[in-house]
Amino acid sequence: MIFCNSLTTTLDMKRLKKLTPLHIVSPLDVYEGIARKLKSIYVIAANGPTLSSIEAFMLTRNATMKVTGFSSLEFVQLIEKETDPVKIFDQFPFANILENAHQLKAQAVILGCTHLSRIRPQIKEHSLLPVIDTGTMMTQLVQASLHA
Amino acid sequence: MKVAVIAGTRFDTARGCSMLEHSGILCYPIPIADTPKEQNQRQYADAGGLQTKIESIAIIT
Repeated sequence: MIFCNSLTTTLDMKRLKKLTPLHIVSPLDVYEGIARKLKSIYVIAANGPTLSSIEAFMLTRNATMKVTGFSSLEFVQLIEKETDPVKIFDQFPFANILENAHQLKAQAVILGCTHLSRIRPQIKEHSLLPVIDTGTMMTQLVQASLHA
Repeated sequence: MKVAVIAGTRFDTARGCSMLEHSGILCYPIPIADTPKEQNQRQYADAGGLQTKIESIAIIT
């Protein structure tokens, strides 16, 4: 089995899956479920291409979905540099970003970068919206598929 | 069963492995970049190369 991160949003996954018999678990598996269930989401991603790919993925499955979001490599670099999750949260304007998501009336905040799992408790604590952590959900998918 | 974790940086790959290993799942980490900037560059400037690299990893794995 192969477990991939948000890089897969910019890959041709159909082509990749044809090349290997191994089961591939990626954020796209999580996004499939989100596209079916939600009408409005706010995505936090590491860069523009990932954010754009997530939006395209959602809209090709749910044309009426409202997708807004934020991307920055800065929080990724901060997460890789700083060890204390509370300091990471405080050093970047995550509180403003979460407030923005609430003002835009999103139904949920999607952590579209697996680095963000590192500060999931802090994000959940400050968010007025449900938080969907792609990394944690992928782990659950791997567990489910291993026990199937 | 062992799970290959393919992610952007060593940090990210280790995080993925840590989350899986916490659930008792054995992992084999495969980072594709050393830094977030390098990962970004691959996505922006060399998407074809990134596809080829991950395809070759998937075939070997």
